[in-house]
Amino acid sequence: MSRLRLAAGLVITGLMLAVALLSLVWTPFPPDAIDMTQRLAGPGSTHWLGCDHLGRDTLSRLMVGARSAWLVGLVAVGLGLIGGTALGLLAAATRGAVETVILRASDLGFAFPALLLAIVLAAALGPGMLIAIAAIGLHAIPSFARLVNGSAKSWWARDFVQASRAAGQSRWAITLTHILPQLMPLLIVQGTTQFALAILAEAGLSYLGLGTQPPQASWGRLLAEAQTLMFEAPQLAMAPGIAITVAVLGLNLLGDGLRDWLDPKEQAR
Amino acid sequence: MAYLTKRLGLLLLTLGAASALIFAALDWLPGNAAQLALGPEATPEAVAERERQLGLDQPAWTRYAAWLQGLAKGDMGESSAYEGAPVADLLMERLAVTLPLSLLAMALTVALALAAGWWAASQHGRWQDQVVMFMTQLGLAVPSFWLGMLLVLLFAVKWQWVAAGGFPGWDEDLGGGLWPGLKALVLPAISLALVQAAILARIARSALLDVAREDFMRTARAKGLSRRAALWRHGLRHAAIPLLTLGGLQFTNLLAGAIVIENVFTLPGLGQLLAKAIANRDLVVVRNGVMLLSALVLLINFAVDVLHGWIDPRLRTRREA
Repeated sequence: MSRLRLAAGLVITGLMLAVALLSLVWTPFPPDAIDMTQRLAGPGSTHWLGCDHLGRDTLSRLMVGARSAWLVGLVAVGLGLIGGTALGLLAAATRGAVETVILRASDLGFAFPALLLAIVLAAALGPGMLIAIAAIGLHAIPSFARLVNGSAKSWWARDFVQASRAAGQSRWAITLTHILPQLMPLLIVQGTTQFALAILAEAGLSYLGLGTQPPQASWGRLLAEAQTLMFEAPQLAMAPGIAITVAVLGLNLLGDGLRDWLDPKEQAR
Repeated sequence: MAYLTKRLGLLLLTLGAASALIFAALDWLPGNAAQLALGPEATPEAVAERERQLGLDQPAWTRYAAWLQGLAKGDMGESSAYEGAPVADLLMERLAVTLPLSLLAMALTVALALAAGWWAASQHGRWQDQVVMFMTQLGLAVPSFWLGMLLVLLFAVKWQWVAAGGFPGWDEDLGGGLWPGLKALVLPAISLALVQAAILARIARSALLDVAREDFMRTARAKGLSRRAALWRHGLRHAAIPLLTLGGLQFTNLLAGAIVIENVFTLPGLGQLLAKAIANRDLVVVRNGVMLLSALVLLINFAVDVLHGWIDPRLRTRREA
């Protein structure tokens, strides 16, 4: 069962990455090419998934949307992972007041939806893809920090770590040589899960118009455009939603599968 | 009592920190409010005049203090886009849509999640369990605003059972009322709840499975209760603490989700107000709107903490020690 999950997750996520990369070199039609003769065309042999209100090819725009999702997801999760891991390791290595402040701040940051952050940033700087990346990435920091801190502390209690401490290794050297490598499986699993959340968040933000801006296609924007044509062309609302769902499902399956594979003791029941 | 005072002090502290962060972010980040309001073609004189009007020639510290003083009196200043309407009135009017929507969605979420989690736990390892788990896996992946769009397509466009959106208001004299108002909130609340319930149901299930291994559950089974009945009567209560923690977090998620979903159903809530305020560069509305939402988030966390201490007195003493 867990092997199946891992395989399904790998296949779906791999396909999505392949589509995003393919969109860099080839799409069936140029994603921004307007062709009013094909306005709201249904799915057919030339335009496989039909066209939007400007006659732009839906499949091509979906492929570009996959690229936006990956770009935002990768950079935002990278930001959250690096920032959160650094803070979590720092808290575990120093303990005391520094740890209290970091954990308290994380609790607080964790409680706030990324959306509020995005609203403030978009109001101050103007909406855009960078806003989405910053809001999602900053929001991911607390969850990484808490997780890393908890796990790092349990490694700090191990004999081999205490032995290196007794041998005179500094706290920072121990953190880098003994603690961080042990956390890799955890970070991979958490990174995958956060990636899934980032894709959902990016879709929501660009749907609201706070994230990726036109003419650049993103799945959230495609849904926002489809919404204005709900009565004329309901089919436009289907493909982007399915793309988001499948991508997130794939990443979640991958995360669960990796967790079971990397740490069989923690098997999901 | 000491616990309550301490928590209250922490609440005030975090409220202060949140207000300072929001003010600073909107004040110091690049982009001059007066210039933004007037557009790039405005003359420097016009910008300076506007700055004086908005009080922007005062130092940031004075303006922050003035804002807090206003907040304490319920005066949030005036909107620059809505013909100088008092922001406090605007926000309250919109909150009267967003808050009931979130509460309705929360009630649906809890009911659905407890039922699904309890049922899955009682059927642990059988196909029914697998079906529930698969549904929750799907629920975790579906964006709630897309689910909302699908519900609109189905119920409003295809079957035409309900209107595609809009809100009649709570006032009976203006063609609204309690019942029509609630009716307009049902579909958006369902779209939010189906997604949020997926998360909570998974937690409920695993919390119940943890409880099921306890001795008192074996006793309950031994005295003749079925697994389902034992989980229902004894299990749920013991699973309450992890569920409450997550429930608090979920309410804030629902609040954020409500802001997005208002755009699907064209509900005149805080989400629409904030989206328009960002487009109009109406920073006064954004600042106070975000502050209001932050205060709600912090209040919910405060309430969850207090409830924790009330349900499980051990948590109170442990924190004080």
